[in-house]
Amino acid sequence: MSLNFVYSIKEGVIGLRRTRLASAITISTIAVSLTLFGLLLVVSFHVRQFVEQFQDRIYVEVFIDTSLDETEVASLKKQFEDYSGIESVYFVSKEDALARFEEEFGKEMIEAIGENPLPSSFQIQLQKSHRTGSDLETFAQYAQSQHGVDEVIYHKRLFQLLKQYKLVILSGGLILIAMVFFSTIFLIANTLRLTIFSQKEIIHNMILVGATNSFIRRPYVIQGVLQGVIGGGIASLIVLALIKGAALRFSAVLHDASALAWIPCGIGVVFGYIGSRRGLTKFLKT
Amino acid sequence: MIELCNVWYILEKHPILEDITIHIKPGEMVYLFGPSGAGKSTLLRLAHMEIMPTRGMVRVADFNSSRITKDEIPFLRRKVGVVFQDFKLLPDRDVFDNVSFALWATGVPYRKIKKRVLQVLAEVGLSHKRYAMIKTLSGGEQQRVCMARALANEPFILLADEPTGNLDDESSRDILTLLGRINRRGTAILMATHKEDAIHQIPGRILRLKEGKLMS
Ligand SMILES: Nc1ncnc2c1ncn2[C@@H]1O[C@H](COP(=O)(O)OP(=O)(O)O)[C@@H](O)[C@H]1O
Ligand SMILES: [Mg+2]
Repeated sequence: MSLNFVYSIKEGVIGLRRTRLASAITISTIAVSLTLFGLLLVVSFHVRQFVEQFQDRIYVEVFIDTSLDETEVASLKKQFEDYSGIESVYFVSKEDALARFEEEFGKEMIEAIGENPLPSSFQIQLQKSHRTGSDLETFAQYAQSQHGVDEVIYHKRLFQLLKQYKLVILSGGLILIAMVFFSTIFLIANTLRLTIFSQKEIIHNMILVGATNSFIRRPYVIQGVLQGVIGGGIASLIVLALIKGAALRFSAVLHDASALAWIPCGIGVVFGYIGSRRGLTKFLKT
Repeated sequence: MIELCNVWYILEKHPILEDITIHIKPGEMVYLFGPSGAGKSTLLRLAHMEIMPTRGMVRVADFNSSRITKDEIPFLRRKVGVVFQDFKLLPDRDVFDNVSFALWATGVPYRKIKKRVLQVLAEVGLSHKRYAMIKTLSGGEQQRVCMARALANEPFILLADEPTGNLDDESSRDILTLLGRINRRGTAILMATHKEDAIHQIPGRILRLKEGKLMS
């Protein structure tokens, strides 16, 4: 039994060489389709993250009258903090605002403008559960009615768009993933069958000289798993390389999706096993 | 040893073999002689249960066609050596691997496999070609690989379907000489052929088959 198993593993490995053309086609098909699948996973993961982040970045900006003194500003801050459903109130002074402006548009712009025209403001973030259209609107109106408040701004339109499309984006992503996933399985199963089909006659001859089904099957299943590992492994490495490459350029905006890169390899192994077993059943009937 | 009792093989309402009864005793040499299309190959395929009789019963050693299960068939095949007209070798492997394959399948340890393979290759005169790929061999050599493989499991009977069918005269003579030697050492042989000159080389019983029926 164990001796037979060693033989099967050896045969499975040699089998890759024996069926080199069919194996090469199978492995590249698996590699290409799983690379696409892996990239789709990574992209949709980021889309998801962006959508979530975007939502986090929506805050209410309350610009305050330049004539308010420090105690008035402090009491106004306190007032906002006490409002129910507020997560944080962050004070941006005139100077902070100018510094930010300078960072974004450069010194020349400021010199051109002359005196600091920017007002101080509060950046107010609502708690996650209160980040709904009506709560934002209610709070904006409340803030607007306070003494010393000049103007209240929040990205109402952006918020509505996000709300409108979030479901579409996320469920669309899921549907796309499912579709690509199933066509990948289909493709892999069929290319694995291609390798086995190229061995159809040989398998029949093996049966005729008294090999049991399990004895015939084992090397082919091992070969299928190897094809899956190699194809899936290539896909994983490509995806990983792209993730790392992108991380170098856009480190600020990207999340670490390296863990996702191993999914193609895992799928390759599982479907290498299932696909080759299923491909064989037809030839091992008699 | 091998017995066919009132065997019919019917394909799509067309009888290919009709009421065949044959009994082959251990060590016997039996020719199955008849024109092509007579049903010789079909009869041999029944004898190693590649196909099952429509009616009647085939018995090989302890295996009975009416009771045998799918899982038992590989074990039957190991007791019956089959030599095919078209060899049915594994073309992507070398001679050694082709002959050893059937032995690996039985779970024999490698040391014994190697010994046995070298032994049968010597018997068929192919020791020097043991690492040659099948594709590079002549027809006669391929047929000898096929015979070595059939003999590897020490079968009690060898079924040979037109073993000289695809060979030139000289190779044919070699193969027949080899079969004679195997038979003299005690292995029964059932050989199908349509060639008149092939049935006189080794002394044996001749069964004449015509249009699916045995002539007496
Ligand atoms: N699988 C099959 N399908 C259809 N006809 C078959 C099949 N096998 C055998 N036959 C028919 O059965 C007859 C006997 O064939 P076969 O046993 O090959 O004869 P032989 O080996 O004596 O030449 C032939 O007429 C052949 O056409
Ligand atoms: Mg024939």
